[in-house]
Amino acid sequence: MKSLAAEDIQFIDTYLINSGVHFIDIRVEMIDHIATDIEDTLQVKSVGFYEAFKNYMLLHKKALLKENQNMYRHMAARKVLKCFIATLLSYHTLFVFGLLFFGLSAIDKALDENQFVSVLNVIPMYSVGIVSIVYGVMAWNVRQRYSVFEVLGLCFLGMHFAFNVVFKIHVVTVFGIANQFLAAKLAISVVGLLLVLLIRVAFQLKRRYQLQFETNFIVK
Amino acid sequence: MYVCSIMRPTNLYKGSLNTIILKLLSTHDKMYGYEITQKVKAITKGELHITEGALYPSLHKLEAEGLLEVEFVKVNNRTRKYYRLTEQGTKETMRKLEALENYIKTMRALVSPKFRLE
Repeated sequence: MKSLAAEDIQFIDTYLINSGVHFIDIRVEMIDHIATDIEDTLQVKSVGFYEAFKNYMLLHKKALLKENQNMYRHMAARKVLKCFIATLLSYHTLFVFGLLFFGLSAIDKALDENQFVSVLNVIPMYSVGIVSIVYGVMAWNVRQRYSVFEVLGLCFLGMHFAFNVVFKIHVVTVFGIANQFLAAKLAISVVGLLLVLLIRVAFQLKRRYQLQFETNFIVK
Repeated sequence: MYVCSIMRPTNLYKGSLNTIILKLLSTHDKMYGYEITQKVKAITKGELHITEGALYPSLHKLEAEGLLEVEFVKVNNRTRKYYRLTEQGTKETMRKLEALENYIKTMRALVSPKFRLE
């Protein structure tokens, strides 16, 4: 059985990246599919790798690259959601919520009304900071692009938006600041909890994907 | 999603792709994408050819639904992704096969005058 050299695999990988298949979790199967087909061809025909590759692409490129990127995003979103629900149903959820709510209550008790409002006002800004740092560290730490991380980026953005909307509705607009601190604390704790869970999901998925794709995948 | 064949009854095969994949996996411990396409080609004597554009989205969908679990193995300088049925996947395979058999019976009764449903 003729097997392809590391340079041949690298050639296929580069070709796919240049053809717009950016996510490694999608590309890894395509590489194996193409390589196995070429190896089968090399077994029965006396052709070189490049000719076999060219012939394969002439016949299959359209079908191979027709795979709907939106469909993969949809699948990635389902994987993120599944992981998120599993994390949400763990006992950590109650602990984090309690920590956030009682933390806010402690701040509320320690400060006067105006000072507490000032603290609440900086929360959205800090949420941007947290999200940016987490996503930045994750992006810097992974060597490849994964479909799930793009979905996570959108989730973080959505979460930040929700955080700001909830904050503004509950704290500033509808209830008024003076007599609705409890509602504000509850709302902020719920959205803050979702944000913390999302960060946890991001790290769980990062660990899983790195283990699957970066420890086994060809070393460049 | 594309499933091509020589006689091109494309739409008839389209809806059965997930069942075909699940059935194949139920008779093997684990399989990878290329192996599935070759197995289908061999069983159907080349009548049915599952394209890459049809196969992988279906596999990913079944994985996302929790019907398949995956395993990564390094083979010849590359990573190979193997799929195997989960417990839920095994149950779903049985359900889908039963539904497909009922569908075939019904269709046979409709298109073949001598055939009667029991």
